[in-house]
Amino acid sequence: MQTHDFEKHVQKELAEFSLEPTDSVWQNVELRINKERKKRRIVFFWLFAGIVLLGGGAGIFYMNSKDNGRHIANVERTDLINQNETDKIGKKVESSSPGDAAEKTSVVADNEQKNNGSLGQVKQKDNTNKQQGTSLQTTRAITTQNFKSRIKSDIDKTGLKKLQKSPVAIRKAGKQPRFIASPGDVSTGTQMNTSTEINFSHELSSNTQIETPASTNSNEVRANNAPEDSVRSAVPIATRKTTLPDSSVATTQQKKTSKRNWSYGFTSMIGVSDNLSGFNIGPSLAATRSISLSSTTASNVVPTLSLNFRSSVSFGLGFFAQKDLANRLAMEVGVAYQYYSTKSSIGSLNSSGRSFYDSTLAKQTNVAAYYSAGDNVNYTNHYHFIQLPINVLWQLNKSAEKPLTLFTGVTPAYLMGSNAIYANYIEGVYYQEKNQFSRFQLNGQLGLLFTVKSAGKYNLQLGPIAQYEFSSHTKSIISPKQHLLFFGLKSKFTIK
Amino acid sequence: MHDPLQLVKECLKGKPAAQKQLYQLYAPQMLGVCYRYTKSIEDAEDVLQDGFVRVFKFLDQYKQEGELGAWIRRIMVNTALNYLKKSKKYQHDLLFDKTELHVVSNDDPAIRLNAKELAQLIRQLPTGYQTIFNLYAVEGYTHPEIGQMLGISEGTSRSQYMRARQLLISWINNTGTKNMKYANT
Repeated sequence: MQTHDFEKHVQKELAEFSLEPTDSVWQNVELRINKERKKRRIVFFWLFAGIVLLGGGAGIFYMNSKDNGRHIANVERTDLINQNETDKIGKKVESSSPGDAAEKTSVVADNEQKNNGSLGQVKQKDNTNKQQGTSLQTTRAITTQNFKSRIKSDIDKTGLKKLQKSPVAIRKAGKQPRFIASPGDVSTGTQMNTSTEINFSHELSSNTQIETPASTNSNEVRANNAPEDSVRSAVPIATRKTTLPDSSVATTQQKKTSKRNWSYGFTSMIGVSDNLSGFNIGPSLAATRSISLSSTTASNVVPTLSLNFRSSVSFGLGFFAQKDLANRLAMEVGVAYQYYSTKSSIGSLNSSGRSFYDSTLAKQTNVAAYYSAGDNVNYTNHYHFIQLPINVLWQLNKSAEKPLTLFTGVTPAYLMGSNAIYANYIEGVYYQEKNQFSRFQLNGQLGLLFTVKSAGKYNLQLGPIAQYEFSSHTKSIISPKQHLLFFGLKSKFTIK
Repeated sequence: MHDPLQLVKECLKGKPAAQKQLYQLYAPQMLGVCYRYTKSIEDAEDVLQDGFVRVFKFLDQYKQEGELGAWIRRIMVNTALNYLKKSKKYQHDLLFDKTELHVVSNDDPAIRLNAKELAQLIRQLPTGYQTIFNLYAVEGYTHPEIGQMLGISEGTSRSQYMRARQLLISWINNTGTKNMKYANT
């Protein structure tokens, strides 16, 4: 069939039809492949950085929780030890009968502060063949729950020192307070020749010793140097040579826990931003920031095409979480929106749509409007970034009231949008070009924060900050590189 | 002699030398494809460039079931269609309803043109005709497929192709060049 013959012939003729491309095609392909690869690496880098950041944050949080958990675990373990020991003693005492060798348990309250703030060492001495026929009265002065809740409530409200001042009566309803002990310099003995020595320190700063359970079958104990009827305090500890956790460690842990807290707040920044070319600051800056090429309209009277930037206003808003790492060292992570702007002098606006080919970006761009070469129009370039600032803060002075903080860190950022002008030197025009940007950025910042007002949980700081964009926000094929610089004031409102 | 599958493996490892070899192996043939869809050699090279970037980007999706050349060719054709749709220069010509109709002879010529002359004639067709003619007569797509690719109905594709074909035959018949002489059969 003729129709099919035609198609077959066309197919046959054109099947092997080939043309030799120019060398520039492969060069551009290679360039773009490398760009793609680089972009992929950047994505992986940020992904990895994000995972590390998340992992680190989770790790810190977990460690923090674990410290608290270990503390509680210590307390519970001590409770168990004390309870077991007390039960043993109680059983022993109960099983003692007249004529048997008397068991004497002494509780010596030792107020010698061998270790300041350390938990009293509880000793129990067995004194045999001293007294017989002692009537044993096991007094369960207070239930564990009552005791704990009572002690806890005291701690919560007033702290440990108040606990010492406000004795706790431990008695069973309907009975005389026969189990009496004070956490001070008190030596208690038993009426039944059973004496127990309890070493208490003045600074009962650990929950561990406070929460020692009272649910033990305590021996009847009376404070030797305290009036019998005076109810000062009762600590029903009757442990046999049990060394409780070192309260100095516990105290340190507690101090650390209290110090290494998270705090949160808001930041704001205001200042000026500029578009620099690398680190060249000073007289050379203008030269490096200015590119001049003659327009391709090939006329002597055509103005020179140049792209220059001047500083303009910039501001930012964000929130942060801060973690104390040491006494004067902290780490801060956050999320912020940052607006930069710069000004450029360009030629007149032409609102007619046109299509331009740019050899640098190797692409055709359709524009609704463009600017000619010249400097009669003041154009404002806007840049909108979302940033993830990560700062290390170091308190320079020792004042708790008015800390002076130096901070530095890095800020991964993403360019959300920009209307920044682009110079097409081949066509001799300016226009907005979305494809000129490299979206992912890495900034570095340095600054100082002075405490302006500190009231209770709230803290307001103010100070200078400089932020520099390490990576160029334009693609690497665009020359020269463009780096944004911000200099201004940062305010930080912290809620502890 | 290059083994295409071996080249693909090397390219997937990110070896630039292999990428260049793959390009050199297929670029001339693919430029011939791009040339038929565009109006200038510069545009054809732009399409070729975009097409090869896509080839290397999506090379991991090549299943190694069919011929590599055919797979690359499909990418080139799709890239060319995208280029035509996006480029302002071609957008207007792709509006099939506005394409001027030419009354031409129904005769089918016996082709005596060489490939380049034929390709040049095809490129002189209005862009819409040119595209459909290339897709149907050269690439072998069906009209429903063409309709889907260009966002037009199957009927439009069919009628446009017939007009393109008639126009092309008319040109071939009316051309006075010695190599473009066709006899009615």
